Amino acid sequence: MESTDFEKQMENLKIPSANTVRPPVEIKLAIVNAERSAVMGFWFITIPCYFFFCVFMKFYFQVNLGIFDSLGGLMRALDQNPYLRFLSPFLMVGLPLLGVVLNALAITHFSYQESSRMLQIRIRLRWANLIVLFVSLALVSVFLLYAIVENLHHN
Amino acid sequence: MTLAEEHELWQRIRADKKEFGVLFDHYFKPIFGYLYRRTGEYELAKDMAAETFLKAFFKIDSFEWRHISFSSWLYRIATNEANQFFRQQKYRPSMLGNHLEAALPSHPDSELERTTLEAELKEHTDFLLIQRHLKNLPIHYQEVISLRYFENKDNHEISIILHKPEGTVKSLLSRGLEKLRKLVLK
Repeated sequence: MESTDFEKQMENLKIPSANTVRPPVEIKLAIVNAERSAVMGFWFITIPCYFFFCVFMKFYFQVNLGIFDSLGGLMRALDQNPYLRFLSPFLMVGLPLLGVVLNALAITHFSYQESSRMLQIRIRLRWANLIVLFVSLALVSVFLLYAIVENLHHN
Repeated sequence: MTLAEEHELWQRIRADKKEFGVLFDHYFKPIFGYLYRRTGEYELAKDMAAETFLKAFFKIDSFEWRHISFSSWLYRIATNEANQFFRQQKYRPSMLGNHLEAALPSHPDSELERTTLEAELKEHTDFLLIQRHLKNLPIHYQEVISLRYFENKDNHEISIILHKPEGTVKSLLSRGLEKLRKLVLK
């Protein structure tokens, strides 16, 4: 076959149109919301990381970054107000619990296969989320344990 | 979409990122089609198309309007994704996993869509033969040939997409076709 014939053959080549593909709505939504999720993810990870950096600096290097004094002051102020008293347990347990739930949802994906009647749970190994999840879980456990021990001690 | 319409859309996207959805709806099919014709693999082409749009979404702020169509810009990103796959013989999307993984498997009709597309591809035996041999050529020939003969782009458009002078595109096409012809005749 001559070069010109081959070129003609290429010009007239029948191409699959792939036109039946549907622009996937779920991907579109995920893309246009990607920026917001990234920003939210950043804050959910940054705030606990900063907190644990402060804990590490205080108890390992004895460097007080002031976060505990401010936090202690805030707790005392909240405890003295009968209407806002519920806020301190929420801050200590509720927020880390929220961190556990949100980070667990960020890395877990559920899918149901109707043909095989099987629920698949996939966990993505995204280390930043996993670290925050375990740290938040540790925080909740420590605070709950502290509350139980304190309660037994008083009784 | 004309250049004037694209310019207007670009301004709307800059004002509100949600308008990117219009760009997605308009260009998903051609970009997916291009990647599917280059790779011949449904899932791979879909991942690459999603990654292309995700990258475009995050780069849209740095996209400067220089009378280059969105289409060329998207084809450029898609070409880079395809080239990455052909260079490494595996595809590792850099952003897809972080942003879209949960969204990808939930498409209920994807199995039907895949079988329809694969059946269509199988009917095009001449195309499959060319595609198979094209994959054995160096990437710089693959990209010009697929853009020219699979996507019907002219040399000027290809030069914009690949960021290469028109003369270079012309000589790459001519040399690439000759190499492809020899492979087909073997």
